Amino acid sequence: MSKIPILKIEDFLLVSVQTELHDKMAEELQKDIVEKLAQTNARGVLIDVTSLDVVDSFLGRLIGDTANMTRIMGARTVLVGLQPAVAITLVEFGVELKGVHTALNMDKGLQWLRQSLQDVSF
Amino acid sequence: MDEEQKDVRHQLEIYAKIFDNVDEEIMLLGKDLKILWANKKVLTMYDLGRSEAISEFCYKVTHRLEHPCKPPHDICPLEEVLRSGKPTTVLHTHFDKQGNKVYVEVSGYPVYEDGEISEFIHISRNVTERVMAEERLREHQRAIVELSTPVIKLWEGIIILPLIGVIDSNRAKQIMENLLQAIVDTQASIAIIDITGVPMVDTEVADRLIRTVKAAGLLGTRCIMVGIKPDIAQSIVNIGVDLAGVVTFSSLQAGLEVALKQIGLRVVKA
Repeated sequence: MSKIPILKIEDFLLVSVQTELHDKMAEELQKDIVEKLAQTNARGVLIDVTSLDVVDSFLGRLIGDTANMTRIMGARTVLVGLQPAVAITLVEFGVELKGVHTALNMDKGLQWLRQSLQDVSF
Repeated sequence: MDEEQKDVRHQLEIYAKIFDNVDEEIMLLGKDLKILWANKKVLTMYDLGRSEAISEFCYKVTHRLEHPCKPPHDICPLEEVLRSGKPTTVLHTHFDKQGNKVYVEVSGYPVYEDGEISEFIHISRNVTERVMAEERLREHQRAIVELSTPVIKLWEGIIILPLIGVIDSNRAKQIMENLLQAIVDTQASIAIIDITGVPMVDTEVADRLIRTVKAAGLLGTRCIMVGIKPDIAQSIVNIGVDLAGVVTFSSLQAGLEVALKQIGLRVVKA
C-alpha cells in the first residue's frame, strides 16, 4: 500500500490524491497531514482531488474532520478540484463538507489560503 | 379420392399465396434452430435459394453469426419461448443481403407436439422506420433539454443560467449537471441562477435548486439566485422552504452588482 505524498511549498502543504482512497489509506493520510503540519509549521493545506471519481460519505466526513483538525492547529484547509459527479453524489448523500473551503483550481485555492492568512485577527 | 386431393391442393395454394405475399419473414425452425422452411420474403431478403436456406441455422442467415444470439446484444426469442412456453417478441438488428442494418421485431411462437415444444415459428417484420423515428424523437428531446438549460458566460469568472418554464425533477437534474459542468469548463467563481422565467416553485424544485447551489459550492463556486418575484417569495415562505445559505435577490441587476463586487469590479457611469 503506497502512501499519499505530502509536499511542502512555501507555507503550505500540498496533498494531491491520485489514486482511489480506501478507508484505511484515508485514515492514514489524515494522520500524516496533521503530523506533517506540526513538524513543518505550515499555515495551510491544499488537498487536490481532481483525479478522484468517487468520494464516499466516509471520505467526505474524514476530509471535513481533517479541515477541523488543521483549523484548531492554526492552519486552513482548502479542497481543490472536486468533480461535478462527486459533488452531486455528496449533496445527494447529505454530506456538505461543513467547514471545508473548496476551490475550483490550485490557483484559486492558493489565493484563498494566502488571503485567509492575512485576515487572521482576534 | 380425386376430390380430396384437389381439396388439399387448393388448401396448399392458399397457404402459398398467403405466406409468399405477406411482407414479413416467416420461418419454421427446428429445436436446434435450423431452418425447416422459409417463405419467399426470407429468401429475397437474404438472397438465398430455398434449398440453401433449408437446414441452415437461423442466426447464420439473419445475423451472419456463427453462434446463437446472446445477451447483451440481441436476445434469442426462442430461448425465452422454450423457457416460458409462450410467444415472445423482441427487437433485433438484422443484416440484409447488402449488409445494411435493419431493425426487426422478431416474434417466436412455439409449435406443440404431444404437449412438448417440437418446433418454432419465427416471424420478423421490418420496423427500421419506426425505430429511426423514435431515435429522431429522442434526439429532439435531448436538444430541447439542452436548449432549456443554457449557461452563458457573462463576465470573466461569472456565468449565468437563465431558467425559463416549468421545472420538473428531470429538468432540475439536468440543470444541476449542466451548471456543474459549465463551472468546471469555464472555471467561473460565481454562478447566477435567474429564475425570473420560472412560473412556479414547489418544494421539489426548491430542494433541487438548493442542492444545485450546495454542489456548486463544493466545487468552489458561489451561487447567487436572482429573479425571485413577489409571488414566488410568498410561496417559498408559505411552503416552508429554508433558503438560508443561498444568496438571493429579486432583480438580476442586484445580483450582478454583488457578483461584480465579489470579483473586484464596480460599475460606474462613463
